[in-house]
Amino acid sequence: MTVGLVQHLCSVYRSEQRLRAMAGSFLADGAALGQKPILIGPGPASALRATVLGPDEAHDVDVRTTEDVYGPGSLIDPEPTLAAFEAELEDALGEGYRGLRLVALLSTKVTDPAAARSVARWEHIAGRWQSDQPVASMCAYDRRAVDPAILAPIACVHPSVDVPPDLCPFRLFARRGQLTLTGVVDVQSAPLLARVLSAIEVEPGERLVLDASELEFIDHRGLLTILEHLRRERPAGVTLLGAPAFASRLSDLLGLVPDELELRS
Amino acid sequence: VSEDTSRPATGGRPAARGLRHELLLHASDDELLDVVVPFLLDGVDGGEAVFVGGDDRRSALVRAHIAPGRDVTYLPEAGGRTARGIADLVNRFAYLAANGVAGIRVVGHVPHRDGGGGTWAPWSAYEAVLNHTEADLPVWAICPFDLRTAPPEVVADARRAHPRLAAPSGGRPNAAYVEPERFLRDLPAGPPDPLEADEPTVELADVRRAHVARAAVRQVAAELFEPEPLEDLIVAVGEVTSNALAHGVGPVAVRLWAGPSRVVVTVHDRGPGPKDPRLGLLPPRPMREGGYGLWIARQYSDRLDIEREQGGCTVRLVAQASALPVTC
Repeated sequence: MTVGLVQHLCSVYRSEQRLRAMAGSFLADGAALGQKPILIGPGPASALRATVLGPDEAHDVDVRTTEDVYGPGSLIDPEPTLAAFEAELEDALGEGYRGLRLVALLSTKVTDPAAARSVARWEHIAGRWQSDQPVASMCAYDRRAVDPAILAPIACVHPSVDVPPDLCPFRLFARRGQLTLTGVVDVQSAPLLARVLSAIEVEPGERLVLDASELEFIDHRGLLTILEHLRRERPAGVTLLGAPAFASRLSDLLGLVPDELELRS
Repeated sequence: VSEDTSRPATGGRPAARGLRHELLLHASDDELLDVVVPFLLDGVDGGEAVFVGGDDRRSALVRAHIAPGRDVTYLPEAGGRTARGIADLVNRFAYLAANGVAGIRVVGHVPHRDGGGGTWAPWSAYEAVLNHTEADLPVWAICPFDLRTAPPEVVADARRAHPRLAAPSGGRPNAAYVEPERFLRDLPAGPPDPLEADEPTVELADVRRAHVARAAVRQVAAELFEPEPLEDLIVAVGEVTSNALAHGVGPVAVRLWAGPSRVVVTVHDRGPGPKDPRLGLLPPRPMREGGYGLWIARQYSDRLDIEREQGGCTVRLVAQASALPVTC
């Protein structure tokens, strides 16, 4: 997979060997592009460096602990965390780098459902920010440690995934700042969409606009799941831009009201 | 053509409060006109919304006895999908009722040209289910059946599906009426489609995700169908497959046959099928769980049968490659 300056990738691994291979090449590719390579993972930093980067290579990689970056608590506070990344990017650009290249090992941050929701929300906020910044990140999760049910809503907010195909039937992510829904939302995947929607940022009074032009499929349960979400949390309504014609016909058949859920072709 | 004033008026009978669904069996044109002409004119005089629809030939006979200036709406014979035509009609009545119409009167000439098979079977199911689901609509409907032309099995079904019998004096309860649930359980599933005699074009023995079934529909029907009916068929098959996966007992088997002008899809699982035979016949109530999938599938197919047999349940969908637009 070729990765440019802008990327938000979710990967899973089952062995340290696999982690070393994918993290090593991701960081090296970024360094070759002029981005500042940073590895984030559970401390202590020296052990992390030894485990992921090996003893004698890549000493130009900055290593940070998850505690330093995301705070000591089990939940991530998005505002100061994002501010720190913004400052990091500004510093890196000032030092002559072309951006940031990050590998973040996040399995230890998703040990319980509340923490997992917090990470999904953070992933969404970070993804939206970096979608128009020279930041490429790989969010890596250990399949041996993380339940797929916990991982699914986190993986789904990434534009790129390197995970088992059934884990992410759809994706909801930002592209150049615009939230985009792709893939398949149906009776089987709609409950996952409900979890993802409840994790994403809510700004009161603002209509949620999703680019649906690359949405492969949505059925009635997908549409009604969005409708239930907006009735609960987003009274200003939802607009699907570039919605496929069949979805618009289905919306008409269901008698959905555009004030609430609008499908614009 | 002039209004027939020789027929006795029905004495300004009040508009229906809830659904009043009456059968009229007639052996002559006069027996038809004696009931429906005063029925319609009373409705017009009372400021009700008055409709005549269904079979064009029989509608024309009634129309010839109503003066042209009278405010009667003649609905053209629905050329397209039965389920779609009924849903449109029910929506129209619900809209009128919500906007405070004094009452609604309908003379509906139900199509039954090909006997107990194709056209009548879906209609009879709707005739029955209307009694429950639309019981609150202020609709007084008379469904005339001509004993000279209607096949005996159609007349037998009609007797069981209507709670009242129409008469010049205003109608009376029908002793032969049976509750919709029983009526629908007794209704035989239609015969298999002739295409099913051959090997399926595609057979999926153990479907775990609805998307696999949807992809198969695209594969067999893409060249046969215009984009719009193709997408709708994909939606329909996806809904039926999702239902089997969610409520049935696996494995879920999906078989598809592509003929020169139509596609047949069967979805089989080892469960008993939907408990309520009325499920999906009429629009589900907003935001209430259940019933959407089958309802959507019926709207998007030309035929949908649910066959309960030993060892499972099969849903059969048939879609014609050139579905006529619904004009109702």
